[in-house]
Amino acid sequence: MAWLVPAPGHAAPEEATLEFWELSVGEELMRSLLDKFERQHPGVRVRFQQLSWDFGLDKIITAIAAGNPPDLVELGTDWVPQFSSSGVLADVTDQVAPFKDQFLLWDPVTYKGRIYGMPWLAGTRVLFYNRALFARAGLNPDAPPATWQALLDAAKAVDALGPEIYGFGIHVGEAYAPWQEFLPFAWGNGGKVLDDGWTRCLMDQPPVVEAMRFYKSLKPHSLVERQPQVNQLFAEGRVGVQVSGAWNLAVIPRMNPTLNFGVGLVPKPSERRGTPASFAGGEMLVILNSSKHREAALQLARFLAEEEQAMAIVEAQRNIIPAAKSAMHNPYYAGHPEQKVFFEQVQHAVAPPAHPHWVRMQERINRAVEEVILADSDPEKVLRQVTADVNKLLVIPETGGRFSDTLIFGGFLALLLGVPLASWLLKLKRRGPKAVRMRHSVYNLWISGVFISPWIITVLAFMLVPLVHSFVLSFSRYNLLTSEFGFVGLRNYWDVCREPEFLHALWHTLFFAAGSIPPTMALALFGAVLINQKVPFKRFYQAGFFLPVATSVIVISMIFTYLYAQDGLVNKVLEVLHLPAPNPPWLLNTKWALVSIMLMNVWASFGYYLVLFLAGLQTIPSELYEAASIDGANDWQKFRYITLPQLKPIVLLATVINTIRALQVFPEIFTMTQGGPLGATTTVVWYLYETGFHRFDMGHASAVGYVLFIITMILSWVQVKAFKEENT
Amino acid sequence: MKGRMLVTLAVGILTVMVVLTLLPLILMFYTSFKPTGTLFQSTTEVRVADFEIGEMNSIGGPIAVKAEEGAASVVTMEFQPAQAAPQQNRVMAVHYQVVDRPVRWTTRVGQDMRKFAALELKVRGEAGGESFQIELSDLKGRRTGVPLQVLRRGGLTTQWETIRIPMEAFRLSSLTPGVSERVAEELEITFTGGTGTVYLDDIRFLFRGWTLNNYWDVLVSGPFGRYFWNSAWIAVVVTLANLIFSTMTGYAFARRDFPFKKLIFLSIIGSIAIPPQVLMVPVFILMKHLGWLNTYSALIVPNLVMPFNVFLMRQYITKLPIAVEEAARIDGASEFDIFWRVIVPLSQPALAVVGINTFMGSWNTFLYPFLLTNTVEMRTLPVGLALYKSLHGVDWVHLMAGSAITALPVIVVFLCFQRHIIEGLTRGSTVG
Repeated sequence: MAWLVPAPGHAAPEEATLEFWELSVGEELMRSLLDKFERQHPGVRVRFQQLSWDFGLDKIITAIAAGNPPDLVELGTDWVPQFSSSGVLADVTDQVAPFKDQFLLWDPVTYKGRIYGMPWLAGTRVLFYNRALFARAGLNPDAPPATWQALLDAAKAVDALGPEIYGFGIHVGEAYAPWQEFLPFAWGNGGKVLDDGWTRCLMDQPPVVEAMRFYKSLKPHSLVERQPQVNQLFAEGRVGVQVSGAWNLAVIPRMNPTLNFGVGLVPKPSERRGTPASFAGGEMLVILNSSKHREAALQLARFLAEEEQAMAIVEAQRNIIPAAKSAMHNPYYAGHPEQKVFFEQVQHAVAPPAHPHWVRMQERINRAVEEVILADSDPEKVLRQVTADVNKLLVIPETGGRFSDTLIFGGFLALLLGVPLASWLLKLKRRGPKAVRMRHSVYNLWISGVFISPWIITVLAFMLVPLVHSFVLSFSRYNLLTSEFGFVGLRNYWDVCREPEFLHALWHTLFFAAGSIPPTMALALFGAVLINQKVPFKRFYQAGFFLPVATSVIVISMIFTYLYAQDGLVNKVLEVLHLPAPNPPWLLNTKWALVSIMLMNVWASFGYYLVLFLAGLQTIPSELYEAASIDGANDWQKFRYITLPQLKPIVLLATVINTIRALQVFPEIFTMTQGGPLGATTTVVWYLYETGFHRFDMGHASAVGYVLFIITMILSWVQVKAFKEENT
Repeated sequence: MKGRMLVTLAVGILTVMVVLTLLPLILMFYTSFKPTGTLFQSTTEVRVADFEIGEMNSIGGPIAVKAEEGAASVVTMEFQPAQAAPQQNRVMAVHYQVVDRPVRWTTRVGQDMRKFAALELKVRGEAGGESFQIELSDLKGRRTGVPLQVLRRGGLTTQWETIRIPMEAFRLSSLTPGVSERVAEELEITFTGGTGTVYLDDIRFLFRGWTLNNYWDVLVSGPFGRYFWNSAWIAVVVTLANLIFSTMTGYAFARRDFPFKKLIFLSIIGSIAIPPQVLMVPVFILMKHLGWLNTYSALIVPNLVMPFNVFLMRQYITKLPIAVEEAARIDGASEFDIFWRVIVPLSQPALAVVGINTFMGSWNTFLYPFLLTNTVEMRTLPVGLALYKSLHGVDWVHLMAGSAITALPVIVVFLCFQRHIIEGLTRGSTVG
């Protein structure tokens, strides 16, 4: 071992600049902690970067793939196994041995008996309940339900308070909450996901099935929604009980400072049986293998995990507890008993198996929960299927291909690019030597070169280089995390074309395009024609329609997520009109989710085309209309035979732009549904993103990108042809 | 007659459409000025304690009495049914006997005091004349207080009365120094002398009406000021560069001839159709090799000439009357003179379109700024906003203030240049 922990009190001898990335603390506080560390360890400087939960993983993966990872990084417990098993993390087993007893939660960082990180902050899910609703329902406001039966009774009693009030909150429609909320019931009942040797999945065993049945029995008395929406309604005092993370201790008072709520342990199966289990999650600090300052990195990790620093984070955030055991006796908890519940809960918390394929297993379990809750499937049947699927994942596929294939690959690429280029050149020569020769004097070329050089340079560097790179990737197997690389020929394309998941995504994308482009165009044309009727305040209308276009998609998605919620504006309007609202609500409904995003997309983009069309309308010479009037044409005829044909070129352009945009729809999906529910909003780009950045299969993802590119080109070409044909 | 009816109808339909279109944005601005709450919910007060439910206060926080260790002073409390009141109507009775050091009755508040206009509570003394100090303290025990004597000379009476203390009476700046939020962790009633019993009920904080706090929080004490500057700098440079370079390139494609022209032009169209996600990793690796990670260069240079702008300018310039150029050429103008003195002035309307398109695109773009920046100093508004969202949960009032800051500049730019844009699109019938 080339690097050893120095005796306590000794600073790292060499000058070191550590790069540290974290997700959960916040810039201001973290900087102050790091300043303190730097004062204690002269010679070590720490540069740090604040990431966030939604995007952290992508960034870390990208950095590792680019060979530019930080020295020390925070990882959520469920991410660690993939990293530790792929060999990118430093083994710190011997270094942490002296102080291992002082911290909780070593399971998630342990892989095959070796330790690959430092537990930092522990997070777990507990029971949140509304004390005011409990009192109204005749329940003891100071006694959260402790058993399954008590929970069911409480849910029923609270649910009976009125149609606007829900007994329990079931989280669906996202990546973490459903399984993290359901598995504790299974664990508490003695169930397990895998057996100890990771040879077999145990999800079809009676304890798990029983737990799933119980979970399903809560549904009639529950609000079934995405976690933010459940939280929203909980904060508004309309949900009796939910199982949720510690962060809510900080979030709920911000959302509704007047809510009277309490926390308790997750209920256990019955008084005598089972445990109040919960999900053992938390934040781990891991050191990358590539780090040149592992020693200093470990010092920093330990420094941050120590009670003093961890408590500073806890006091600022109130949403997490330290992994340092000594913190339990910190005076802060004497004054904040509700946060001490988390300590108690952590004692019963179970860590999911640190299997390298855990993320895919959790995806599968997540879907199972949604199938039971959203699609009303039979728990036993669903769990049997889960077991079969997880068993398949337990057989770790062989790793193949090596970088030595580069040569074959280079030849292949040269062929692929060279042939069309050569044939094109030949064709060019054959077709029109005169036209080509005529104006290509050296001087003229030079002038042209000056004019297009800024564009050529940027395009070559920032478009062509990455493009060729990703094109290369599309013919190879390339794992982002392990950098394992190998040439596989057309394999990726072949896989893409017959994969049902991709075909679904393609169908969704085409549906999205076909369903959102015509209304956008129609609305834009309608509005433009109306504004062109010489109405007063023309510019006001123009601007009004254009404002959504100017607004960031991120902002728009956030507003609409809220509008589409169970009690959002859309449902409220439907209620006033006595129209039925879809159940589950829009973004969670497999039938409506994609349509909801399409409607939002129409709203957000029609103003752009409206302005384009308006400009087009104003260029139509008024003589045409005057002549038509003299000939006795009515308004519709004028529109049909003058306006429409005159607008055709603009409509064509708008359609092509809109098609390209629609086929690439992504930020909306990313912020609103993450491809769910049950894959209903998985579009091609989302599928690409998931394959590349969640399953790390960048080769496959690149192939998806090029298939989409080809489809886009074909569609645009068809549109141009169709318009032209009509013209002649 | 018929024409006027048609116009009235059009105005009617348009108005309905515009209202519907603007509704989500109006909600955004509306929410951003609220002191707290969500898009639809408005809260006017925080009832900290009415002592009706269980042993905790009304926001789930503990209630306690505290005497310093070793002090001879004593304090106790109990929940008491109110006289002549129905069940479920309790008040808090605090018995105190101060011998040496002061004693306290405290309850958890945990709220940002800037949001509030006043603190209100109902009090009654057992014998009359009781007095205390009302204090707010933060997590570290820093406190600020108002003696009851200031508000009620002669202390309490034996009748219930409502005391209203405007927030200005407290020195809030002594709480949580160094951060903009003034979070009072505890509300304390401190008895500094005498013996007696005091009854408390309905302790509540009243919100201010409208507030600019949210904007202040995200913009001045939060990082949005910096994000704003970054977004603005990047958008302005990218826009200026595009105005010049895309005109140059568009001119070359429209009027000049060079080898592979058609192929290159097709590749412009093609490059619009490639999903940027495919290029994420290659671009990141490239930027790393250039040493441009977390620099303005990474966000500016690749966008100096956007393909769509080249396409627009080429379409526009193609349609300009060629006669002017020919005339200039005959007069002996150089190629660059022609470009600068003929093409650029004639292209002004199209440039307005390119300008606003580029500004909007650059201002709102998310993927690459997210990928290529590392620190708060380099982040742009959309990235900062998304980050803020995932760090602070669904904190609607701040989120909407951040959203408004993100949306507003583009809206203003559009409103300023609106006429030029329509003119630009119209005059040259650019598009098509």
